[in-house]
Parts: sequence; structure tokens; C-alpha cells
Amino acid sequence: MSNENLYLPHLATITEIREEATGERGIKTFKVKINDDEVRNNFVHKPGQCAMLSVFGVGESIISISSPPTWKNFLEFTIMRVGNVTSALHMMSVGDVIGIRGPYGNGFPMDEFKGKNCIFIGAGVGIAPLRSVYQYVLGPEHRKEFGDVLLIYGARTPADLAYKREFEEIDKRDDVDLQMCIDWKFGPQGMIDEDAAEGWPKIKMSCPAETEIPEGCNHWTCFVPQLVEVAAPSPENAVALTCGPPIAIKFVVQNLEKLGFSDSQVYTTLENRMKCGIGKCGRCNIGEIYVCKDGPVFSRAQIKSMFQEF
Amino acid sequence: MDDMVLKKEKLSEWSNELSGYKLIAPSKEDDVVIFKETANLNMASLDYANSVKPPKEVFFPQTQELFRFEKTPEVKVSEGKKQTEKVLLFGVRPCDARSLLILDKLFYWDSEDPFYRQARDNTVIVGLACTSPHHNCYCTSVGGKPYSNEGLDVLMTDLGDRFFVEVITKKGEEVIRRPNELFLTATSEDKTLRDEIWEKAESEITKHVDVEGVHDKLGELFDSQYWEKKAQTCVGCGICSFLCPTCHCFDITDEDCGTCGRRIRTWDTCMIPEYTVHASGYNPRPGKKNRLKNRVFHKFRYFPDRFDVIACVGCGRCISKCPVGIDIVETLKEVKEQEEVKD
Amino acid sequence: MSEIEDKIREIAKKLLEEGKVKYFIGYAKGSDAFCAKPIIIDDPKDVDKLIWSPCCVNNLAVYLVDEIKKKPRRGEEPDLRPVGIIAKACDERGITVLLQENILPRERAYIIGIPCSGMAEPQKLEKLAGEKGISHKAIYDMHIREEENEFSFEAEGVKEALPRDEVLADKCKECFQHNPKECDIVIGESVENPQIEKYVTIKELEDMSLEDREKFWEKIFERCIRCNACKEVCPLCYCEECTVEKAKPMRWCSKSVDKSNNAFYHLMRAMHLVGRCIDCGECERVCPMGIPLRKLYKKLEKEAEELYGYEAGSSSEDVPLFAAFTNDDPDEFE
Repeated sequence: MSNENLYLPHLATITEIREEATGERGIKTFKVKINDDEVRNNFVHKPGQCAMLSVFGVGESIISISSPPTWKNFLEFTIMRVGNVTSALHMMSVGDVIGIRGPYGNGFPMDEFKGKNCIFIGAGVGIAPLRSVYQYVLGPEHRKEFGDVLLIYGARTPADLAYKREFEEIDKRDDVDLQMCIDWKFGPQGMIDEDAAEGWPKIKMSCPAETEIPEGCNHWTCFVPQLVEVAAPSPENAVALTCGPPIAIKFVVQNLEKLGFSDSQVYTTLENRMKCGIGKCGRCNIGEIYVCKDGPVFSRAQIKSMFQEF
Repeated sequence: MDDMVLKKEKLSEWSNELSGYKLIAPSKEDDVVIFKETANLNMASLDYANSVKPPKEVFFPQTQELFRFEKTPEVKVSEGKKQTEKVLLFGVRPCDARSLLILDKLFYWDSEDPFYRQARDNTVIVGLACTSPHHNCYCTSVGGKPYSNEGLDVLMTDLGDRFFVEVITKKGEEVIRRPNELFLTATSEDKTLRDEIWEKAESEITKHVDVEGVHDKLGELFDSQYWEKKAQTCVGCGICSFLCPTCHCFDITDEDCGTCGRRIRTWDTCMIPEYTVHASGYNPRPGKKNRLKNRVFHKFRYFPDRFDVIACVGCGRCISKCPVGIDIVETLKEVKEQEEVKD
Repeated sequence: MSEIEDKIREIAKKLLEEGKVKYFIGYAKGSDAFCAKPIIIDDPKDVDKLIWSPCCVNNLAVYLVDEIKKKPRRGEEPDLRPVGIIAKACDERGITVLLQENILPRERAYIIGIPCSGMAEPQKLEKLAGEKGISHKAIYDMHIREEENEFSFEAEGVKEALPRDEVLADKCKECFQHNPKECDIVIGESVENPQIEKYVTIKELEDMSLEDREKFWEKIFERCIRCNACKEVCPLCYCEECTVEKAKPMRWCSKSVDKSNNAFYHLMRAMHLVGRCIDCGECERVCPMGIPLRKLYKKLEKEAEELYGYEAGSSSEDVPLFAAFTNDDPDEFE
């Protein structure tokens, strides 16, 4: 319909708020239910897609949907408090009404991943968009369609790790290999050569691959890229999906390359400032690419062909 | 339909016939020509090379209300009244008319922008061929002509005491139905005079750049030092973008009055750091050089890659009004002379 | 004129060759003859690009603020050498305010002062050229000169004198201080300051009733497109984040372009320029919508003078108006 106001959000109610991480840049997960039954049923997203969330009077912000499409009737958003809108969201309570429009973006090409081993590598709040994919893959509806699953996730400290209870559940499953890490600590002389916390043994900085692995241990002190090196997934019939701060992605990708992953086997999501979400307002462009429409999911091969301005 | 002529003194009578239309025409205020609503077309200012602000705002207003909201007692959103009024936009220069075809590509691709669409559908555009172009005009370098009828419903040419009138589209026929006592059938003399005026106007366009090869050359110059040098004197204002008939970027913000408010979209410019800065503080285009480069790239590479057309119509506004004399034509010429940068 | 031009090039060359300045800010030929454009050069080979003509209207002091705000790259030693800059008397007053407000350390600028008895306004030149039937082609190669206090232009082999009064920029007609003071070196003879009636530009407005004045400004502000050019060219608008852009924790000025928000923008700017605006007229010159901003700032300049006997930018030793307090200060506005 050409006359439909594309900028008009649907009303949605916050039904649950979970505090994932505290601190200055706290992280919360919001469970949101679109008020109108018909709109809710028609809001069908793909893993990796985004939505525009509104706090009326404050503004709009593009947020990746962190629940898989297989979870019906509600959507989840895991949001770090950084800007005006996310700060306002963090002040909201269960029962409050927000606006939502979308879903936007391309999402991950799930059909192409079918039959393949999936490696998920998330750093910090970058785990949020990946969650919509690994929960899709691990769900009973689709688990059989995919091969082995390796899930690598790291955050700064144990307190910064999101989805704690959920990861405890995943850890119990035998059809997924979960590896988690917390950052090496910094001292005045550089990184401190000790475990960051109890129960998180340190991975050798100089040569991560040589670290002795205690039986059954999957909690480490290291950065995410080093954990990739330790876990050393095979590139054969595999895809790697990674998301996190640019610096983490950079080294994750380098290490994947070392392991033999080709550019078309590695996928990541880009973020850029967006206002409209529908390819009009102009600001999310990287060259002729509109991140909001053509992205946010890109293969490493696609990213390499872009003007490097992101 | 046959070509016609309209005596200038009959503009007023024609205006009266257009009672169903809101009339928008160039008007002069303290030497500044802008498009404004007018009661009668005989009040339009006709001695202008071009308006300072392009008529794009008729279709893409600088401030557009997207919807209103209430916050208490419960959250509600409501759409404002639809603009259904018919508009006759008079005196549009051929370059600005062409710019609308470029904006169409952006506003109609993938999903149609409802506000723009509505304004486009409701507006009849009557153009006025350029008789004395400004010295910064360069439409002929980017595919235009001072008498091009692309994007126009009617093209008029000022013959002195009368207008030569050509109806281009069906929409144009709605406002000029047939030769009648107002619109007389044009004579061959009228036509000859029109051709002479056209030719003279075209010969007066002396600013020129050959844009062939600019697209590819830009690709080679993404990492060039040239942009840093070029952008050194840029002050980072929004003149070039706001006055550009093809610039279309916008911001979306909320106006909050406590219990209620509205969401608006407003013109934005890629020449300021706020345009791309992430909430985290990270900015993919942190410097003036990144921003100036982006504007040039967007017009001459990104937009053509995406929509098959250069996003510049050669109106020359950005040249005339730049506070520090940055000249896009000069820039393109320099670009062509730069040596390729390899990593 | 050309003597001054030669001297500028000579000084710039020497400063750059000896590495005494980091770079040099001057004027170059614009793409048409009516505007000289700012240029920044760091290579002594480029000094021939520097020009001096009656079209050198820009206030280059705005680039000093750019320089001060530059942050060195991580691990990079900051280059604290001075920047060479050409300053007419009005530009120099702008630099003086930057010095007074401790924005610019004196040693960071090497100021080349040029006494100036007025510059031509590009729009006025363009209009005159049009009236004289100068062709578009000729506009690009036209020479505009000032010789013995007379403006002239030469195009297509014809030289014509320009009536000074008709081409002089409005701000220059009201300038009462032609000679820059805070300089490291002065080029050219000092010029006699004229006896002029100050504040003529606002006389008409002052005579209006309050209602009429309100209507006057309302109509004009309605035209503003908030391109921010007035604030970006102003050497004294140096805030890291301007009130109009500030969105955290709340937006003070809506991005909506309408009478009320536009008036807020301009009045906010005016209030922040009381006792600081040095009437270089850049805001008014660059405004694409022809908003007579000088009228606004001139009024405040007058208030500052009448109430506190303060003249902005007259000496770097002066305490800024808003930093000074004496028991004799008047405590109410008329």
C-alpha cells in the first residue's frame, strides 16, 4: 500500500525486563509484546534483523532483535545503555508502552547455512544479534537442519556476561560446544599474568593454542580472538558468524583466516547510525550500500569489497 | 497538444481559472528569491536566474510532521491530516525539475515514502526555461539543458511579452486544456523566437566539466590525500546540502511537550559530525575530509551506482553560496587530474 | 595592492622555509572573480597562490579555532609552532577576543596585519558586472583591484572604475578601526580611521515600535533554514557542542524549522555574542537567506558600549565584558 505511513510505529508493551549487566553501560533484556493481535502475528522476522524502537518524546533507535522467530508472540531486545533512547529504555518498567516498527534489514541467510556446522563468536553486547540465530539453530524446530554448533562468547568480567541462566542451560546440552571467556586484566605494566576470576583459568597469552586444557573446562580468561584460536574450529563445511566491537571482530576474523576460513564463510553484522531504517534518510551508507536495507548482515567477502569507512 | 502562447498580462486570468489549486511561485523578499504560496501568478517574481532555495521543499519540506503522540493517560499515536490539496508549482527551472526525477528514485525505491508520493501526485509543475543563466550554472555538464522539459508537466519560455507554452504531460493538460482565448496557438515566428532564446541561453553556460570518467577516478581516490587538502577550509555548515535540489538526507527527532508531542523529520546534512556519530561516540566519518569526500562521492559515484543517475543537476547553488568558495566543478576537474592512490 | 600581495608571498615563503610557522592561512583566487577564497598552505612552493584584492572578505580567524581544537594522534608529538595568518583590522579584533578568552595562546599565531580601508561585497560586484554587461566567461578572468583607494575592474580589455560607495561591504562602511593592532608584523601603510556615525544600520529599527520590530524579525527569522553557516563561520562560536545541537539529556532547540525555533536559535547566538562580536560581518555575508544578522549584533554592541563603555576586541589586555565586574556597573537594562 503506497499510502501507508512507514514512519508510524506500532505500540508494544514491555512484559519483562532482565538485568544482564550492571555498570555505567549496563545491559538489559526487554521482552516486548506488540499490542495489536493482527500486527503481532504479521511481525515475522528473520534471525539477524532489526527493529526501530521508540520511546515517545525521546526518539527512535535501531536495535537488533535478539530473540529467534521461533519464539512466538513476543520479541526480545538486549540493549546496552549508550545513547538517549537506550538510556530512556533503561529507565522504563514492565507495563510501559514503547513504539516498534520493522523488521528491517536482510538478516542471516539461514537457508545457505543449512547442513553446515555453525560457529558463533560474540564479544560483549555483540552476542545480542547472534542470539536470534543460535537460538533459532538450537531450537527443536530447526536443530536437525544444521550440523555441529560451537558457541564462543566473551565479556569484560563475569558480571558483564549476558544471558547467564540461558548459557547454563545451553552448557548442559551435548549438541553444542560452549566456550566462554572474560578479559585479561590490565595493570600498569600491561596485561596481568593471572586468572581474572576464580574458575576462569588463564589462556597463555604468548601462544594460546598451547594452553593446557583442564578436563571439562570451558571458562577462560582471555580475549575472544584468542579463544577462537584455542577452540580451533575446522573450516570444513562450516560458517562462522561473528559480532562485537570492531577491534574484536578484526582479530577474530584474522584468526579465522589463519584457521583456513574463506571470506565467504565468515559473516558479521555492521552497525551505523540510522534514522529511518528503510533506505531513505541516507546516513547509514557505506558507499552505495545502505546498511539498513542491504545489511546489517554481510559476508567478509562483501565487506572487503566496500569502501572502508565504517 | 499544439504549442501555445500566453500573454503575460493574462497570467492573472489564468490564475483565476486555477481556483482548485494552491499556487506556489517564486517570490522576492529582500533580494532573496524563494518559492512561496501566492494568490495570483501575476505576483510571481520573474527576473531570477534561480531561487536561492530549490523547490524540493514543496515535496520534501524542511520540517515534516510524521505523526503525533500522547503519553498520558495512555500512549497513543495518531497521524496528522493528509495533505490532499492540489498544488500548481510555477516557475521551476529545468535543473530543479530534473532533480525531482532523481529524488523520485530515492523516495520510491524499495518502499515508497508516503509524504513525498502524495506531494508529487498532487502537484502540477510548470517550468520556466532559463533565459539568462547564472555564471555558476553548469547543467549542460550533467545531462541538462536550460530548456529541458524532463520532470516538468508544462514548459514555458519567456518571449518578452508572452510565454511560449508546451504541455508535456497529462497532468499538464489538466491545467491547460486546449488552445482557447487565453492560450493561443503558437505561430512559427513564436517558435523561431523560442529557439533563438534557447540557443542563446545555452551559449551563456560557460562553466563546464566533463564528468566522463569521474566515477571511476573517484574509486581510485578514496584514500587520497587530496580530500584532506580540499576540506581544509570547509567550515562544515549545511549550505551546500540544504540548497542542493538533490540532497535528500533527513533527521528524525521527537518534540516533547510533556504529555504529548510529535515526531518530525527535518533536512539534515552530511557535512556535520553529528550526522554519522554512533551513540557510543565512535564516528565513521570523523573529519571534514571524510565528510566532504562523502558528499562528492555520493553525488558522482554512490548514487549513480545505486540508481543509475548522477545526483547533481548543475544548478550551481553550492558554488554560489559556499562561504569559503569551494567549487564542485573545480573539485571534479581536480579529481580528474589527481594521480591514483594505491595501497 | 600588488605590492601588498608581493609582500605577503615573501613573508609566507620565508616563514614556511624557515619552519617558523606550521602553515599559512591566506587568500587565494576564487573560482569567479568576485570571491577570494581562504587557502591553507604548508609548502613554500605554493606561496604564489596567495593573493590580496578587494575581495578578501573572509575572516580567517575561524581557522585558528580549528587549529586549537585539533587533537594530536595518539603517540604523536603535537606541533605547537604558530600558524601564520593574514588579518585585517576586523579579523584581528576577532583574534584578540580569542586571546582575551584564553582560547588561543598568543604564541600559536603569527599575525600578519594589513591595514584596510574596506573590502568589496561580492553580491554588489556581481550586480555591477551584470549591469555593465560583462560576459560570463570574462567573469572568471576579471581583475578587481584597488589602486589609490579606488576600486576598478578589468575585463575583456576594458578597465572600469567602480564607485566605491556602491561596492563597499556594508560592514566596512561602518568600520571605525582600520588598523590591526595585535600583530607580529604589519604590511602596508596604516590608514586613517574615519569619523563615522556609529550604529546607523540599526537606527531605522530602533525607531520602530516594539510590535513592528517584533514583526520585522519574525518575518525574517521565518526565512532561516538553519544551515548553521552563521555559527560555523563565526570565529567566536567555538563551543565544542552548541546549545542548538545539544540533545543530551534534552533538546533545547527543536530541529523544526519555524518562527519560534529559528528565533530561539538566533537570539541564543546573539546573547552569547554580547561584548564579543567584533562586527566582521561574516554571518551576514554567508547567510544564503539574506538575514540581516549584523543588525542584531550591532544593537548588542551598542548596549555593551553604552552600558559598560566596552568595545569588543580592542585590546588583548582587556578583561572580557562578562568576566568583569565593578560596583559601578548598571544593574538593569533599559
